[in-house]
Amino acid sequence: MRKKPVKTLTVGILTTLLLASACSNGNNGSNGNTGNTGNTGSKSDTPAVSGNAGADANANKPASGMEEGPFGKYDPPITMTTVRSLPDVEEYRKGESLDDNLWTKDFSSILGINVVNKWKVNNKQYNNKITVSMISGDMPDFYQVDSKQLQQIVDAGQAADLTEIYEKYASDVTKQSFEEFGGIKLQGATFDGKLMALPLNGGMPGAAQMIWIRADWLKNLGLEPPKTMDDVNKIALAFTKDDPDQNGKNDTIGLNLMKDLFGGWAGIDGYLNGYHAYAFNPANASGTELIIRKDADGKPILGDTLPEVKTALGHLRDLYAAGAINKEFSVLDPSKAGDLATTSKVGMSYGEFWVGTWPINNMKKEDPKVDWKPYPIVSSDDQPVHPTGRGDVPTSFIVVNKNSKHPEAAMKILNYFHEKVSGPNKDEAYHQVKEGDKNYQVFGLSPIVGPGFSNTNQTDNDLIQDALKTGDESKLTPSAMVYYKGIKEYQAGNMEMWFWNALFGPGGAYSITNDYDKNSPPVTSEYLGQPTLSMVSKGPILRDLEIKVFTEIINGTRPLDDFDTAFVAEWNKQGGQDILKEIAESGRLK
Amino acid sequence: MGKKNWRLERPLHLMILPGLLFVLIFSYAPMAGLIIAFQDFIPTKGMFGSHWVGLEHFKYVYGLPQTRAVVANTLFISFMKIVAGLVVPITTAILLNEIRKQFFKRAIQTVIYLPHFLSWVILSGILIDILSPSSGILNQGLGFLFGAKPIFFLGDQSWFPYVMVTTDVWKEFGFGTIIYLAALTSINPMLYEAAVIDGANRWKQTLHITIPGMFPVIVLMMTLAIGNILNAGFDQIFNMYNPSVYETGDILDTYVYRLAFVNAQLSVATAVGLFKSIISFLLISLSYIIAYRFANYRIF
Amino acid sequence: MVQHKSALQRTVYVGIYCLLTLVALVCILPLINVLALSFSSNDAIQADKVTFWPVEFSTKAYHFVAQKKAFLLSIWVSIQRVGLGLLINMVLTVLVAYPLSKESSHFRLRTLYAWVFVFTMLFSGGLVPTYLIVKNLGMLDTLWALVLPGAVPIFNVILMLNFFRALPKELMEASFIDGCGHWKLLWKVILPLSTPSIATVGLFTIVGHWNEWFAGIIYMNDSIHYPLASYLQTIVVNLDISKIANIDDATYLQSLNDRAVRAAQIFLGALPIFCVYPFLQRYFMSGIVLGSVKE
Repeated sequence: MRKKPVKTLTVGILTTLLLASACSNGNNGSNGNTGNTGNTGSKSDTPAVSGNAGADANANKPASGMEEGPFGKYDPPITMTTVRSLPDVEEYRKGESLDDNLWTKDFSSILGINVVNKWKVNNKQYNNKITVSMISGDMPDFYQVDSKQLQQIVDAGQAADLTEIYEKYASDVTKQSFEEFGGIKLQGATFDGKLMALPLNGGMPGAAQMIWIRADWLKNLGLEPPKTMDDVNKIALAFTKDDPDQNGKNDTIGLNLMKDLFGGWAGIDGYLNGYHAYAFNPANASGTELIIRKDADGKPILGDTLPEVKTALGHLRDLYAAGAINKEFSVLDPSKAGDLATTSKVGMSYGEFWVGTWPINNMKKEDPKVDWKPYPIVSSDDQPVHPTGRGDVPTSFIVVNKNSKHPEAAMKILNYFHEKVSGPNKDEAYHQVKEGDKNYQVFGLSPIVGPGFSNTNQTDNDLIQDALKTGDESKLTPSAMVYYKGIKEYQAGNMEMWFWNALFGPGGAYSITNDYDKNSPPVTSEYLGQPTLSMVSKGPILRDLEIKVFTEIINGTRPLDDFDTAFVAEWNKQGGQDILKEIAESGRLK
Repeated sequence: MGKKNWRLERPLHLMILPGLLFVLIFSYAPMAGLIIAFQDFIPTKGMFGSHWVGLEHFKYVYGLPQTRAVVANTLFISFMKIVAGLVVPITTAILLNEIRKQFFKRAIQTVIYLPHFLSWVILSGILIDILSPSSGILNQGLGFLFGAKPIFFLGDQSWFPYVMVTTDVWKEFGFGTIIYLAALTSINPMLYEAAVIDGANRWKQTLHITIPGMFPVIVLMMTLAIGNILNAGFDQIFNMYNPSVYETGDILDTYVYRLAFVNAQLSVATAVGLFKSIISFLLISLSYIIAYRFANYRIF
Repeated sequence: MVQHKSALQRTVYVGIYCLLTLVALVCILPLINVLALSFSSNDAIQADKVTFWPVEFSTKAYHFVAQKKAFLLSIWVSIQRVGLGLLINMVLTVLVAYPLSKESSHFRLRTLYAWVFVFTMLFSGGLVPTYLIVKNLGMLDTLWALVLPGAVPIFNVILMLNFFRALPKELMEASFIDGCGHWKLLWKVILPLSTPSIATVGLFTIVGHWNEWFAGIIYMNDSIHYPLASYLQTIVVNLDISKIANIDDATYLQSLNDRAVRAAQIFLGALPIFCVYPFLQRYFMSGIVLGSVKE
């Protein structure tokens, strides 16, 4: 008997799959969507609400028992229901919970809004739970959804029109947040000219990759940091063959890679950028977040199908053949690929800014000689190099139920969040609090985690660099202060704080992305709309095709020319053309 | 006659009644939900507001180029798992039955069923390490013993299905053994005593008493397994496969997962589920009829 | 019944012992790995130093888990679930299996009934409609939602009815002649003879309830009502690195690294069931009893 057949047969594939389905759609975690927090530096004329319930008392009071304005209080208090997605690791301060915390207390005392969580579920199951709730018609006043769900909800007429509410109730900070970077966030939530949801992310494109290299290994071999792709390839080979860890064993590899192929750790994205190729379609994702580019005639075309990608794959293939890429990459997930780094088996990996916080964060503590450093991506020729940028179009939203009696209350909650976490009067006590040796991300307790300003970390980085040079800490924002202190502690010898240095230190990850933004801005998808019908239905098959062919080209089971015949041609044939056609007709190209 | 029968049978009907009610409420009533296989189901529109599309989803999945290969993989992996899943637990049960040292017997029995309690998510992590061609214990062992070249168990298309079968049997055989051990207990010990008097040795006793005694349970387990043939083990394969072994390792459930669940295409998924149910139903019916006709044995 | 053994026999027996020991060893290694992880420091785990023996020994993970309210609560929910589920499942299994174990000549509708039940093993309406029914019966957030939808485990019923059939028929006929009704026969004769099969099916039921996690997550509106399996499911982190957009996400990544605590919870979560097993084992290894009653 294998398993318990009752289960296997009865509930059968449908549930087994349903339950697993959310795993990869994990964008619902409060983690996944935490907005950038911070400060634009702009002046806001919003009244300070901190602890001051009477700030708006002079506003006129309509019959409904609600004061006007972005922070107008309800009297008598109202109740707003919502549902919550839980992060994988739940940690609360003593006496706090998702139901009762600093946010909910303020909402009821200052805004007169009692927030009630109808249910809470782990982020992996959030989509399932939303689906069954939708079908049973049991939706709360406001709730978080992804692009596809938003589309369905708007089509079914179940979302409240927030256009007027936005005009009337959005605070200055909220407006600035939604309208930054050309209002790309607002656009993503607008249907037929009406604002149907509150976007929770988007704005400045992120995800730009850099090259993480063991600088101590470079030194051991007398090598310089890479200037060109040739250097990258040479370093990869040297790290493989010349015993960079000087242990006398041939036990190292040059370039780290993992089975999803694309992604912020051990992905090929940044390597491709070196050859002016822009592609993104990880094996574990939905196959709908594509990098669309334009051909000479301005027609949409998939970045992954362009000849530059073939060139880059050819070089990766050579590296693999020379043993400079892990032979087992096709079975390793990011976490297993991470183990290669933490066990000092690999010395170079393309990755995003956060690599310093995971997976290599503990290595410095274990062995101070280990010296991982981020370097900017490099070009293969004299053309400037640009990273791939993603995440500018919002993918996560708060929908307000059409039947909610107080649709504007959701806007007020968002205003309050922005006031405390993103605006000029922000308060670190509402963002991140350190108690004992634990950091509590208390902002995540708020039922609406607003997008704030997507360049907050970048502006913080500039402030930190100045402070590090001048020693003047007075200009640091509360969040920048936390990071700055971390760097100082690291410099004083606390190796646990190494990651702050990797992120915000001199030559750290954010200095590199800031430099990209100034000198070689990211290349983003030209398509600004939500996933089209064909993307949803055919995306997964096309993604499988792409990953399979790319993997087999790299590991040598296929000739390089299969790129044209087995991938590009097939991609167009198996539905790619339909996707491009829908995109062209959508009118949402940049 | 009829009256008398009814009086005799009435308690039997009464006994079955509570179970029947539960099944009607919690199994039959929800089956109405299968209609979404014939719709373009959209959650916000509900089960009765969605657009009807007939057999479109079935045709769609059928028409996909990979479907045939995926069904073939499913059948192949599943079939091997059924065979191995019968042979290994039965053998283990018989071997354990030979053991006279009660303590040893119990200890072994307890230990072999432990892997059942570790989920595939956890086991896959451990297995990827063990099976690694560069650093895995297994390959190092094989290299040391036979000088064999490292085998890329999880990345090689020809090895992958067999690795799935082996690891699945390893995880579940201890649990399966329990049923056969229970079946062994119902064999009349007098039969063995008689055999000993006739001079039969242990091997002969096993062959002529033990195995025939287990036979009904074996047939039963086989039939139930056959009904399960389109379930080749989603959790296991999902946690261990990768794009380079899709060709031989991708099964119906993982395929539909990538195809439909990632993008919440509930109708497509339900259509495939319904298709699987129908096949299972046909296979179970067939085995039931065969067992009844040829062995005059009703499985249930 | 084993008399003097020949040299060949002896070799065969030694072979059997060795083989079984080897097999057992292969089976226990992963668990030892989990155990070693739970007693190791996180840094050692991250540096991939731990295999079968703790490195930088520490009981920190267990101290941490012992204070973790959600974990302890979920164990209590699981115990309740197993208790209630075992009772309901076993009663219904026996009550359904007994009539179905009769021949058609004794119970004319048995085959129809049997198919009605087997059909539910093959066809399922799926998650959504089942959820609607559970919800409309007001069972969300209650223990009933974990127990009632699967109240009749068909696989166990089929097993049980086959075990019942294997019981000597003469016995039942004799009882009938003695004037026993079906109820009395089941209670007084069949059940006492069926301890091995009841123990087997009971074990399956217990393990099934202990391991099942999906119902817990989907029918419970708050994680404080989760059974252990659902809880454990939520702590097994499925890293999705494509969604990390800013520093808050990045620092959160670090908190996912507590592999020792995860290992401790996995081990402790399986522990109760390991303890139940040897206890039930007595019953399905005691076939001799059956034979002697048969006289």
